[in-house]
Amino acid sequence: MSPLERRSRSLLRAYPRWYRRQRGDEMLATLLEASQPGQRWPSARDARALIIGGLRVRATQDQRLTTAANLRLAAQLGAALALLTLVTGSLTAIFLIWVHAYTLSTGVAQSLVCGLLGLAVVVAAWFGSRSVVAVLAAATAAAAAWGYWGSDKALAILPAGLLIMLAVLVYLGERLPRSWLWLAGAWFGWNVLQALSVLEPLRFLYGPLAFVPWIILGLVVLWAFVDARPAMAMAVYIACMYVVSQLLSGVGYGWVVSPGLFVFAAAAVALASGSFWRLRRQAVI
Amino acid sequence: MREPTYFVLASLLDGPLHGYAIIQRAAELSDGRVKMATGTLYTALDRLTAEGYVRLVREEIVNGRARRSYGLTESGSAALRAEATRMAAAAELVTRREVRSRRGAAIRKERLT
Repeated sequence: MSPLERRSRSLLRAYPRWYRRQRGDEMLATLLEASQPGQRWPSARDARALIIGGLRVRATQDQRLTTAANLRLAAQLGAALALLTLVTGSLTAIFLIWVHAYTLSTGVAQSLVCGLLGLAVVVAAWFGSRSVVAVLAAATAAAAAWGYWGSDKALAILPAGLLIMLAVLVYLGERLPRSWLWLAGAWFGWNVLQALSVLEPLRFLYGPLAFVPWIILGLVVLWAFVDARPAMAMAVYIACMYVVSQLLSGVGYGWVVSPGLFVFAAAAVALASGSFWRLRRQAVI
Repeated sequence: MREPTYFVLASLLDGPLHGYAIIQRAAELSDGRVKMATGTLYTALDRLTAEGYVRLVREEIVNGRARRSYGLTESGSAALRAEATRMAAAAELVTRREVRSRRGAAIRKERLT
């Protein structure tokens, strides 16, 4: 086995085993045929294409989807992450009240129902059928309208909007890939730990946890070279959680907008533009 | 349709080809503009096969390794023709205007002299 063949084989390991079994030999033959006489290393271009191609297959990125379908999926993930943050905030707040007071008022019980139903909507977006998501979203919205979600009524528009967005996108579009569950899991875990880090035994986590969203954002931006949809989802998340929510909280306060809003809006636009450019390149012909 | 995809399909117009031959033919047809890396070619072939534009035609063993040849399907030819027509119409839009403005400039020049 020549050094080039050995090194090409190592690069092919970027692809999952089932794919290598199907295509490995054929790709290796093409790589060797395309090489120069005496070449010992695969070219940088070939190496990059093999690594990115392999990661793409591993990410089970559906190659048949159009840009529109990919955008719908990204928006679905962004809405699910935003809803997850709201739900986690609500549920952890209830837990902290219970820890301190050992009692739950009627209003808190309503929030608990909303939170649990909201969490069920997010889980159903991955595992449930379209009708299950629609029914759960409607039930959550009804429960939220019956009590009301959050301390500010204007802010209740955001979860309601997210529920509608998620239900409509699930109805119209494709199922969220299970390979994205790590992102939802990491986001959920971070939100829970951050909320609970006010408790004495977990207080040491408070500082390090501030870096977690930046690390996740960094990973998602890097992953955009393989699959740009999670990065687009992050743009949707930032737009919902930092721009729309700030605008909504400004209602009734003379629309006082903090300068931070423009920073978040610019970040969301930049992330969305970059991801859209990548999405168009990864979409079907 | 992106340029590499267009040239992958165009390379199969004259008949089925295997991976390396597709890379060579696409480079030849595009005057060296489209130089596909092996990984990129197989990503494109996976996608085009899933879309029904390309199909596996032949499978043989050469030097102990699998060699597969791919050919255009009916819908692949139709998509390629549609793209070529679209590009020709877009090109004509510009060239026709250029000819018209060149002719106009010549007439104006003639009148002045």
